[in-house]
Amino acid sequence: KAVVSTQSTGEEEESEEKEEEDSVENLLFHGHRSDLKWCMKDYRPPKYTYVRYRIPCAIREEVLQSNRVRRVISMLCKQTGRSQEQLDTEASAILEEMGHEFSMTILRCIGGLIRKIFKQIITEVTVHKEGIKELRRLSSQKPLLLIPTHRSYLDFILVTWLLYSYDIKTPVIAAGQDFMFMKGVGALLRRCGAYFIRRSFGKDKLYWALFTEYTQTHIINGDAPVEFFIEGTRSRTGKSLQPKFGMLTIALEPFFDARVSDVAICPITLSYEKTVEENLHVRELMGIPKPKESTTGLIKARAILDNNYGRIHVKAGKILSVYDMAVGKVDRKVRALVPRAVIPSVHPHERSFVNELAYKVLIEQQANAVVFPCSALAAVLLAHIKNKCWSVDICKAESELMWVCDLLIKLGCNLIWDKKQHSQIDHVVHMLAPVVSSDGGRVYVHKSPPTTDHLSSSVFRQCNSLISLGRRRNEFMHIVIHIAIIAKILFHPKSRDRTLNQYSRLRDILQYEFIFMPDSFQSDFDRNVQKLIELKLVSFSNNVYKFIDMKVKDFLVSLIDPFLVTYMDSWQFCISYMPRTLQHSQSLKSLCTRIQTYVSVLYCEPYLYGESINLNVIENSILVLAKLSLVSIDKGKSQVYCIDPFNFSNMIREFALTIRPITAKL
Amino acid sequence: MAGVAMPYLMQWFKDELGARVSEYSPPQPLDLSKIPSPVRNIEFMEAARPWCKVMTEDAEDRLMHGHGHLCEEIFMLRNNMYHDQRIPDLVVYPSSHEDVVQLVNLAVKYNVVLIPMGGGTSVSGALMCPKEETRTIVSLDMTEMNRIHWIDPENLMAHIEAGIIGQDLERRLEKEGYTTGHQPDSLEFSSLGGWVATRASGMKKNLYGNIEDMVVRIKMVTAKGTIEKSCQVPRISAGPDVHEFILGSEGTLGVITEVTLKVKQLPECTKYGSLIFPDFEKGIKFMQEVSRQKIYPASIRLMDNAQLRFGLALKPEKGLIERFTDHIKQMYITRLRGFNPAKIALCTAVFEGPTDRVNKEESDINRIAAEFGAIPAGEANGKNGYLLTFSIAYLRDLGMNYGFLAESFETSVPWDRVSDLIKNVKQRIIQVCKEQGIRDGVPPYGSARVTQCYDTGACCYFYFGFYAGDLPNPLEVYSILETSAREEVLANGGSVSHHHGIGKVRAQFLEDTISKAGKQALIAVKHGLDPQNIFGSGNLTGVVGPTGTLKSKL
Repeated sequence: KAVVSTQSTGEEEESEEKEEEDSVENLLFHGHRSDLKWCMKDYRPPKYTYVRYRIPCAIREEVLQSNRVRRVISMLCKQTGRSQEQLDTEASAILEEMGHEFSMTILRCIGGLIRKIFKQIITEVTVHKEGIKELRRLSSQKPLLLIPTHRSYLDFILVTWLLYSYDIKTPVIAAGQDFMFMKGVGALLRRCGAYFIRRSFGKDKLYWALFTEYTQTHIINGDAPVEFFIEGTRSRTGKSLQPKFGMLTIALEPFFDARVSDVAICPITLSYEKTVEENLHVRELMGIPKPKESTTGLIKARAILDNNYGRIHVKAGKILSVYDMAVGKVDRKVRALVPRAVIPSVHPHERSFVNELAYKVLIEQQANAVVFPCSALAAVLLAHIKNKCWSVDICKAESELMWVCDLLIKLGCNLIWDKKQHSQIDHVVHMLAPVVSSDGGRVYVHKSPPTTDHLSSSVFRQCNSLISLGRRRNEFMHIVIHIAIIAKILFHPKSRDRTLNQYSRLRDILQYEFIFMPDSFQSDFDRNVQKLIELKLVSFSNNVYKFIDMKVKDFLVSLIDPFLVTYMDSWQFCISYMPRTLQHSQSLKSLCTRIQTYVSVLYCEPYLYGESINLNVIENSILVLAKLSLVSIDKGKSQVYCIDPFNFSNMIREFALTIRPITAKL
Repeated sequence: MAGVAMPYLMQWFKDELGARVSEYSPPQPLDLSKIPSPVRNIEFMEAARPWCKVMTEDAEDRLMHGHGHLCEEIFMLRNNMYHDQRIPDLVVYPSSHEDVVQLVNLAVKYNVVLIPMGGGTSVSGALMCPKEETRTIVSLDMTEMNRIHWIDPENLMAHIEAGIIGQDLERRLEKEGYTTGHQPDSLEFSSLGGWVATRASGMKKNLYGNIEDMVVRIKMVTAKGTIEKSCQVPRISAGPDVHEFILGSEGTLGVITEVTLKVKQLPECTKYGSLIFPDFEKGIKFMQEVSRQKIYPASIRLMDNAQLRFGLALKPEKGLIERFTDHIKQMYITRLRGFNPAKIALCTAVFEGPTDRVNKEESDINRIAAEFGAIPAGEANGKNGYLLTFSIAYLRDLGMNYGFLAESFETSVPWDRVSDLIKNVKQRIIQVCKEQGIRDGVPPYGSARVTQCYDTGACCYFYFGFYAGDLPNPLEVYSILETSAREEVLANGGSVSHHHGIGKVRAQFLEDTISKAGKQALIAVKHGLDPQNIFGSGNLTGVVGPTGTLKSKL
């Protein structure tokens, strides 16, 4: 009997594995083998039920004639005294600059070319089929918003490529204007559906109206799915950025306004084993400005073609129905009292709904992310560097890597190995190149040659590698952040109330660093503590939590410490040197640079965390002060000063107590 | 349209709704044994007997007075589901205003509940009896009060008893050369009192007005006496108009016994017309333009594509030549004019009045229609469009035989939201049907028409239906569907109702519609006029006042 049962479970496992293989597909070889045939494949995406076919210039014309734009123009006529013709010409010019010029032929050509390139530099692009099928099914029923994660310029290409492959209408994409100035490239992107938005247009009412109307008309008429990035820009740090609400608000207004009965939001997660821009992003985090996008730059960057960037995993997450989520939260009747001819304003309850939704989207994106083993190796290596070992025995590294991977999988992480590789560790090390290399016996982390002036050279040599590895580690931080905070708090056993209290405090402090669903600290805490207890990492008796697995605890603490220490250092600088009046205020950017220099001097020899000179982390440490009303930051981020030094110093004291073991070492 | 073969109808049921002939499920025979026995109030019965023409406790009569024509009610009736429902305990038929006054006095004296009933065509659940009511419920059937007291040719008014049924009224007025012009879809069955009590609207309101525009004087018997005006004048400035409390009171304040209505001489000429639009949107724009120019034919309505196809299915069998000419017409529309048959919309119009005015209106309409790309489609189509609306209720019964549940509902909405509202509501119905697991491959039927034009907006009328034969909980699904559709209507800036009224099924939306204070005002009037809750149907504001539970316990 026993034999039979084990056999059957064996079979089940096999079939499960097979199912898993069936559920993903390699996009590189989807459809025709030949790239040429693939370009010319039969492409008949389902159409949105209520779509009216329009060519790109007809869309622009409709925008120009829309109520919103007409009203703004006549208002500007009265206010500025400019003639209507002048404003019309200006509006046309803006639309010309903004609008896409979608062309299926061009899209097919570029698609083929890109597939060819991808086959050279990418091992495989795996796609989760289930989500895509659902997306295709819904694409005829509801206007779609596609919200992908943003880690690389490749995100644009991948999403369009994905939709083309699976016979879904390819999206129009709200893109930053950076690309537009690249000769040729801008025009090509336009023809693939990109439309361009100025990075800042502040109070330009005409621009605002045109951009809003242009986006909304695509949603109302359902010409194509609308794609944008909720993070606003590429995340340089490997973890999700805080959501931006503007674009989402604009995209949901047609629903609030009952122009459409529902909008479907599809969060898409693109997980890269190694991003193409890695090196550039690390430099930016240290304060070396990014080079301006240009076509010559792109041609120079053709060196990327010689590298291998491993695997990419794409997953279209659970599709969110705005209608379902708005039940009881958004009262559309309120807007029905404003005639269509009047430009509606966004109500507070709509704002808070958008806010909540944005976080939901980000959390869904994170839940669908795949983690590659190289992120785990980065964490292992960082722990060794902490002990001043810049090289590790390869067998030791491998066993530690396995331990971390097992832990992550236990915590619910979707970690995927590359089954095709002969030697896992070699492949994983290769994915961390050029920062990490191995000679068969040991794994080395390299210090890079110095190139900047404001940081002392020895510090800089270390931190390039540190930041780079930190980025990779960050790729799984969203999975462990809650329990890492708890591990940090439970350096010795604590009562439930105190643990919860300190958890919520640390969570508030780290709110710019990681994505936390607003107002749900209690349920997040309960869920994660429950998980820890189930995994027998934490015990709970007599209303006291105790972390029992010391190895796991130390590992978790080592993940979160770099952030906490950086915050501590940054704040200690701020309490002494931050200006306290508006007259003496300085810009956020220069303040961050000063902190960076200060920290690099402070630590020049003993040990430094990559995060301590990571400008992004430093900036977050200041932004959170503003959130806690201790510091004032104006909208343009040019005037930063401390408004409440008393409470600020109190908070630092309290914070120091929470993270005591570290301060003791200092 | 009785007796005419409709060969295309079954095909339509099969094609559009996926009906299967094998799934024929006729109504169950009425099982009267399960009907709850009446709650008797002997004293009232004895005292009331002289004041009514007929008084009955017959189970079938009681059951027939306990429901209207909601899909839900018909479904329950077909499936003998009334055994645990509250239905009237007694049915009485008064024959004059005086009878009603006496009956109401006795009801107050013996504390029984009165629910007035006319034609029984309510689609708001207004005739359902409140479950918690423990007193005797008496259904006051008004249909014996059907006299026309007088017609005044000088001032063009007629004084009529409220129980008269629409088609009788019209037939009798017609003999004298007059008409009220009030023509609701339910004309064959609904009564004058019912029209007033629900704020009814007729198809030809453009020419004759809605019911509130037609009434000159109303008599309503309440628990505190009769409300009436002492004069019958075109207008009066004497504070808020008491008629406004009566219109739409849905039987909660009293019984409407007599009404003085405006009448018109029969029109010299009646003409039908129809227009085909390339799509529904263009049709709506056209309707708006017609309203803007204030060219109001007696009726003008716009059907969407789904309803147009339904209308075609109702056409009688045709001969060879007719079919050939139809084919030619179709070729012209689709090939030469490039109309997409899956998108076209049909506008139907009725012109009434002096011949020259009718001709002028018709040419005006055609002129505007041409600007919106329409093609005239002849008189016959126009006439058929009107036939359709009278036949819907019968067709629902036919559909129910094949497991379909169907209902209609209406709303009014400003012009700028008409097309979005229709699109969104249809989409919501489809979505909810999907979520509720309605059989795959059987698309829910949803269609709409714009039936009334006003200066600032329009009335939209929806039909929806779905296959419920294999659902475990058809009524629950139906109710979810109806509520979601209504919520979508409200979110789109539509009203809770244009002419069907609130009753019980839409009572949940009243407060949101007229504000809390507004509802308080209605409740205050109810308290003032009827502290004992004699007119305890619980319509409109829900049950206000005692239901007898307390008393019976004491």
